[in-house]
Amino acid sequence: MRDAERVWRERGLRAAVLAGDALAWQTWYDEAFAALDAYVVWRCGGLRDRADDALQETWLAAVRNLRRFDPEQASFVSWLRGIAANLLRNQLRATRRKPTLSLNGELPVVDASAQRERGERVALALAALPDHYESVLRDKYLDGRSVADIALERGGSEKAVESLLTRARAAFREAYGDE
Amino acid sequence: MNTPDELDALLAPPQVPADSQLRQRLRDETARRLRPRRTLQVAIIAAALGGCYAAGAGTVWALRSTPAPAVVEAPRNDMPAWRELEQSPQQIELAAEQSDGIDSAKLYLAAARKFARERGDWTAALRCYRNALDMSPEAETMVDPDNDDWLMTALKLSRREEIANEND
Repeated sequence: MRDAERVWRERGLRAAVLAGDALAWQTWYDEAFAALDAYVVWRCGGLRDRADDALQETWLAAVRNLRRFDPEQASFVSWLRGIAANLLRNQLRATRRKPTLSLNGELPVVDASAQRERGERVALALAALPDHYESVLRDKYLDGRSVADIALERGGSEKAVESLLTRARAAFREAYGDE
Repeated sequence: MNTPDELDALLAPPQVPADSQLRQRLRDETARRLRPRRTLQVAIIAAALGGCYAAGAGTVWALRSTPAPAVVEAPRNDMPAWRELEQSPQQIELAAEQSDGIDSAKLYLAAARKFARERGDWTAALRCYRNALDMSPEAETMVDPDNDDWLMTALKLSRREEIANEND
């Protein structure tokens, strides 16, 4: 979909939803759900339970702030992803400050699952990255876009995107290793 | 974790799709939260309409409650100073005979109309109409379609013809 067409369509959907059109909201929600879900799960390192919580909070925040959404600035999915990224960053910061306690509040919970530990480390590492690193990794890994495509969208050269990806990977590797 | 393959595996999108129940639940929850917006908008519109109605009603009330200004009816130029309507046509005719000029003409006219409309006395009406025309300047021979009956119209036309013939 061309950008002008997207803006026109999302502006109409936004107006319809704010006017109380339930069908418009259902359409918009269904269109955006999978993309947002994929992003949140990716940011949560594949931890479904954590992703579900973030997903719920993101949608509720989106509904609360729908009037602020401007289709000229970004697509609806990008806007939702921005909300999710902020929420996750705040959640993970809180998690770092406050170690998880067991139900009796004495001993840290020991998650035996290596998969879970890995997921949490990925989530923390992604949350620690600067936005421009996170976004280029998202374009490459989550959205599966080619370097040429990313370069075209950003108005830069493929070489610059490759360089940015290299630095982003290095930053992620460092953040992941630090955890 | 040093190799590019390991890093790619960590950054690869996990294939854990959302539960369809969660999707449905969130859809319902968000839709429910959007509904009050409509209710609120309807309430705002209703309040605005109510406000308009109240303003209109208030204006009407204010206009009605304002005492009407006293109307002092100025005597009309085309009416005699006294109220001929309260008198009989004979009395008005008598008053016309005792008056001069335009007042006399107006009184004869009023008497003629009363004779014609209230009494059906066309003879008396013809007499008074003729006197009224005799006392009037030439301009008064113009037909007044709103007030002149058939008799007065005929007399005026005849009088105008006479005047025209005299001038010739």
